[in-house]
Amino acid sequence: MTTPIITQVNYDNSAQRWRHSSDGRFVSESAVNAEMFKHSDATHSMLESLTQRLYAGQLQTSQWQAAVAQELKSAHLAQAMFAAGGRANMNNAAWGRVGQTLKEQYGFLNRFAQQIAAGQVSEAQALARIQMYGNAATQSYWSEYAERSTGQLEWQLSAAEHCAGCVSNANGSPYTRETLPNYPGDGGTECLSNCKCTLSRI
Amino acid sequence: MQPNEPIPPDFGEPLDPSVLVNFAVVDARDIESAILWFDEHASEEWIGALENEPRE
Repeated sequence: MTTPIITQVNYDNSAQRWRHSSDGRFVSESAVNAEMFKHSDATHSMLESLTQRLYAGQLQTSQWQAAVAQELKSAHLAQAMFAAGGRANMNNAAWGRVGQTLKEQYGFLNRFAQQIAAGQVSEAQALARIQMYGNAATQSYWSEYAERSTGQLEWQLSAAEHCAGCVSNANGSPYTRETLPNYPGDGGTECLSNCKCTLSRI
Repeated sequence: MQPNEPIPPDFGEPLDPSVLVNFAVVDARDIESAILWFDEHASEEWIGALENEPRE
């Protein structure tokens, strides 16, 4: 007999926040963001492993490309659903947004693969570049989070070192979803997809 | 190439760019895979969260 999975959190559509199923308390923003970054880290680990296998001769470029693309697809879709509050809250427009992001990322991946196949990228360089793809999955989280925000948004700097662009974004808060200059991790600031900043609805 | 130079690895040809352009289209199977991926990497209290019906 299989053990049923008991989900311990539910999404509250009115509040646009996750709640603990047991007592209805809101899950803290920091806990939600930590879970989002945990998934981002998982993607990074997988992409790093695939790239190491490529340079160890265990994968051909095309196999590496396909595996990276699959990992990115799962990560971006999952992060978008997480921001939306689950699969039930997604619609065709939301799936389309993820598809557009994937198309852009795959364009970068195609060029990256061509350079690797041409022998133009060292392993160290490849590992540094693939990290950015993993981190960029947070872009799908924040774009979906912002898209569903009807009020004001605050750009919050991470505890880690941040770039001038992020500091400027933080100083320019609050924003609406229309005035937000870019999403954390979308490459719009100097830290590119390494951005660990977050957004918060205020 | 000098005799002692390391032989660069042969990575093989990359995918035709059109392959990944087509792969960017999201279908039902991709969504199921993504939900499984989320649960695989989730903290215990978040497993199944993406499938739970939201409360209004």
